[in-house]
Amino acid sequence: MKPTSDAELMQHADGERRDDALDPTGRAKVDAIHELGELVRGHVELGADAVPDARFDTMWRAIDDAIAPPARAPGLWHRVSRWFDHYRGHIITGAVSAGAVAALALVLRGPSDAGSPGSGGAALDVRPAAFRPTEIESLDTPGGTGTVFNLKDEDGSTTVIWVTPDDSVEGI
Amino acid sequence: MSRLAWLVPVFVVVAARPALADDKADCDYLEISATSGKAPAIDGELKPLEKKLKRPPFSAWNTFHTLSSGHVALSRDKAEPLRLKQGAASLLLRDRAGKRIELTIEMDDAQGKRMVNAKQAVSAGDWDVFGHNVKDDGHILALTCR
Repeated sequence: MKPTSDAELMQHADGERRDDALDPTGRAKVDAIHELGELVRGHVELGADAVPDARFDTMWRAIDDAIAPPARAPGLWHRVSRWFDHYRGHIITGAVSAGAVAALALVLRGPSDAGSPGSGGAALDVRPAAFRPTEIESLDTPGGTGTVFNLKDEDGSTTVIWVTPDDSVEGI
Repeated sequence: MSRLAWLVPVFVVVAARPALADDKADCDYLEISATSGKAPAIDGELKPLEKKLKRPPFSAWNTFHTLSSGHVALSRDKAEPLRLKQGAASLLLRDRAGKRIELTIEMDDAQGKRMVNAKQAVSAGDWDVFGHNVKDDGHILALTCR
């Protein structure tokens, strides 16, 4: 029996020829070709099945990323708190310095501002400073008799202290 | 933080400013002679006081002339003399709280006799006037402090 050529074997493997015309060697080859074809086909089908899963995985990952809450940036309060935590020493130093300066300013001002709020002095005078008349704390007129006038007009308040000498023939 | 360090001296200066400013006052004064004449006359320099000079006790005269005028810078507890043509006067800043200025004013006549020794608390910008009779005339010292 004449050996079967490769072309004929391929025709047998493709079903284009009848198998009974094959010798045992040719049949073994055709069977091997069929088996190899099954292996290749199976491998390709498995690869084809794997592709959609990979795509779905990618799609689900994208969807998950889209609907998951974004990683939040630190809020303003958090940043402020962190800043204060970071510079706590400086802030305390500044506050103590400011307090010392304020205390120094209050001490230097002295107790004269008795009418100011919180000074613990007399009742608060709520009149505008511009209209506070002159207060005469003490008046001594050894050369005569003193008279006090208060002239008030649109230009403001004017206090007049007029002294009529004792030796004056005619006073005001 | 180091970039904000410059705020510290600024705050110190701003906080201390009122206390330092309360140690000083600037005063202007006018020495005026008051007489009676045929026609009323008031020097132009006395314009800020013109309305007041037409009211008692100044209405006893109708002619007002400036004898001297000047500016004096007061420091706390330091008496400053005023250069008057007639007599003498001095100002002393005793204390200051914002626009409230505490002054001691002394005024002598031409014979050296003490006419006025007054302790007053005045508002910045207001006029304070002192005067006395000189025979038939008047001798006036007007001052305003800021």
